[in-house]
Amino acid sequence: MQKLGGLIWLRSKMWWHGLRSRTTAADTAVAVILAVVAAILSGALAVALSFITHVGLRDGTEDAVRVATLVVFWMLGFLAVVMPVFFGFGQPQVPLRRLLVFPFSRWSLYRISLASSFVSGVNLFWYPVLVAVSFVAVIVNGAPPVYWCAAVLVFAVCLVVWCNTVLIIVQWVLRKRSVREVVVLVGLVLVVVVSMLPAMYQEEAEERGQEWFGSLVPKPVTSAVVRMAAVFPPTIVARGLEAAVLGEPGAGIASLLWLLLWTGGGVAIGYGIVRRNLLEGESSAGAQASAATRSSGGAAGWTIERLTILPAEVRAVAAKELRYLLRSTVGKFNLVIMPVFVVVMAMVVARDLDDAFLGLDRVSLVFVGLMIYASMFSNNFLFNAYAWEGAGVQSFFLSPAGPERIVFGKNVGVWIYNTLLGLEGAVIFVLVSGMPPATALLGGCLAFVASILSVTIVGNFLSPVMPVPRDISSITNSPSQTAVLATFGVLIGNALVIGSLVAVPALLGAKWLGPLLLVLLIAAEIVLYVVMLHPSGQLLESRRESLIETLQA
Amino acid sequence: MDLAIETRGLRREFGDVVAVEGLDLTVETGTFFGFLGPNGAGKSTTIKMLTGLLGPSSGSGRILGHDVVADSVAAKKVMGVVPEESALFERLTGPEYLRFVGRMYGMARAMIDARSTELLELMGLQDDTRKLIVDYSHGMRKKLSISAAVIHEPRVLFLDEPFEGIDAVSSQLVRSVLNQLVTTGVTIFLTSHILEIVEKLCSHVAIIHRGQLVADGPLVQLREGAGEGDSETRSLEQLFLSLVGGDRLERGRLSWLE
Repeated sequence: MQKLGGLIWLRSKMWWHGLRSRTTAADTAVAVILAVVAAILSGALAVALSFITHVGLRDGTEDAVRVATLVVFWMLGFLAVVMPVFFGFGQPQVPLRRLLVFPFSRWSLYRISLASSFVSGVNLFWYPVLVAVSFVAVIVNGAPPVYWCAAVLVFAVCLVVWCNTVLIIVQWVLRKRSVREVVVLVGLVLVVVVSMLPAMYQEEAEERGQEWFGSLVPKPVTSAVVRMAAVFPPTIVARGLEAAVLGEPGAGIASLLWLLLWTGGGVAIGYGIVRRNLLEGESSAGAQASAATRSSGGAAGWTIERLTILPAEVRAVAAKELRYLLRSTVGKFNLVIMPVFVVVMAMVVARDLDDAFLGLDRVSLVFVGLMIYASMFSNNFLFNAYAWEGAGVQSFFLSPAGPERIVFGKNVGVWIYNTLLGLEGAVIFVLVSGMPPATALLGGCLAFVASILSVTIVGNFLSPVMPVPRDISSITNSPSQTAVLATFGVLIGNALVIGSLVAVPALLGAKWLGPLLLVLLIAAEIVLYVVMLHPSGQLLESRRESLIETLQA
Repeated sequence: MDLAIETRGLRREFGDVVAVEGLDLTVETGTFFGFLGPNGAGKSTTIKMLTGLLGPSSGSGRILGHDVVADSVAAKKVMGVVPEESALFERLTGPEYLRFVGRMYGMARAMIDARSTELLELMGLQDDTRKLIVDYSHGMRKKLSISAAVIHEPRVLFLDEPFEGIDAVSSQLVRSVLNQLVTTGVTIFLTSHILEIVEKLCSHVAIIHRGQLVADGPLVQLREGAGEGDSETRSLEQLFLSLVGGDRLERGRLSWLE
């Protein structure tokens, strides 16, 4: 207990100091607000789901208890076991490796990680839902409270144990950085593609007059899935609660025993990995280090070296920036996911639009929308431009390059990356939907440029003022809350101005006026960009110390 | 007398803490200068002020006549820096980082490539040219930092703990390169906790304690004032301990072990 007490003390101290070192008081306030919102959301979800369960039980059939609890418990299982992997990328609450220097046994380390899982944010979120729904489903129906308590307790422990075990497994499998990045990338692409498939398939099925789910998933497969689900804890506990309501103590106790077996299995696997594999270093994974960490994005330097019109320092910074973008998980993800978005927009969105919406035909409208959307892929790179530099940001300040050249170089790198994305999207769109009219083609490309320029101008001022370090291997982005508000304003302004310049002339029937107005807007933005480059460089120079301190942390 | 480094009343505060207080220092061109002090004495803060990573609260610093604040670009052009902690872009490979640094100093690509190859071979990094820096060990990073600091032929070289984490062979190689640089007129400003290395390499030494200079001059002269015995046999360690560690040495025992 003393060890656990020490760790809780350490955790609370780290949390407290973390709050103190936040860049602004606003961020701290937002963090507290988010925690309160999460608590309210959890309570509201518990009330809402228990109400739905109550209505279902009152008006439903005999197996209503099982059906209602089954849906909720599977949802909780997903939340508890799968979501921490996605949001935490396999990182456990307590980094066990750091505790190896202390005289803790492997069993103690395992118990510490398990204890921390019980109080993790995700798990705290679903406890009220479990208690409320199962209470309504069972106690209201006259089942013994003792069984309800036991079932809820064992199920909760079982989920938390498996939450911890899955995190340990993921940490073990993904202990090598390059493997972790590849898996995250592939996993995200799969999630996006799979989540979009039903919408795309539905279109096709409806056109053929078929019921989409029935035609997509054959019956033998669905029944096999249902049979398999019966051996998993959410289904087991749902059946147990149903048995308790129906007055079948034998079946209820059998369910409890199955749950205990699952819990024991989770503990055995989790502890087994902690004991034998997890803490034994990276030797097996490290053996392939040189092969697995081969660098990508090597062509970036070659490409930018050809832009001799730019000063050498600008080219150097731009090449570095482009390499970083092409080596980041989010940078690769954007390039991989762009074709999926284009196909979905072309196939699904375009079909739901009326012809001549906003004065543009369907293909033109989707193309212009696509190009504006493509320009937004780089918003995070421009609004939080130094997020990935880490201690390397010192290299900028140690070099003899003027700060405005550093800013310009970084902008050039992002522009080239975003142009690649835009080109990729445009080419795939043309292949899928055919060539849009010349005015739409030109308008789309000009809207793309205008959008990026406006974001760049604002981003150059925002980035050094509110830098937030970001993990280059992660897809998640957590910028300063104040920056989020500022960027939101820019995006709304962009959408209004650029959208109006495209749509209003088209509505008036003067289709060439749109591109002309966009050219004027871009000219104005270029002048503004050039004028603002020096002040934004000076701002970077003046924020040098805080930038280094923040990014090194 | 050509001065490579000159500071006048250099001062830096962090809130209520004065890290460096009124530092007056001169280092002649072509000198191998050792800058010593206990932890937290202000060594790294001084280097950071002279290299442009920190702004001084007051006072001035000049590198080969260029003011480090008013004429920072010119000052940075003539200096190379190995910071105490890694300042590398971790998602570049070693050669890419050296190319980045070379281009920032306006070097031609062919020259960068030739020098990179030579430096990487000298440092024993030639087999890791496709590996990202994030996968480098601490020692490899330090060696790459040293390579990046010298690739553009700086006239003044700042080295903040350059030998930390480097193996004995590489350390010897780095030392011989540094000696070679000094013979060509390069000024080296070195901080290190390894006093033996400073003693072997440096001709001049300054010691800073609690932000203030407590000794400054040629190593031989400083040894003479270090205490009893022959100045040749007195070590830099004795001098150092007598200036900054005396009071703590008296308390060098743990009560529960007695």
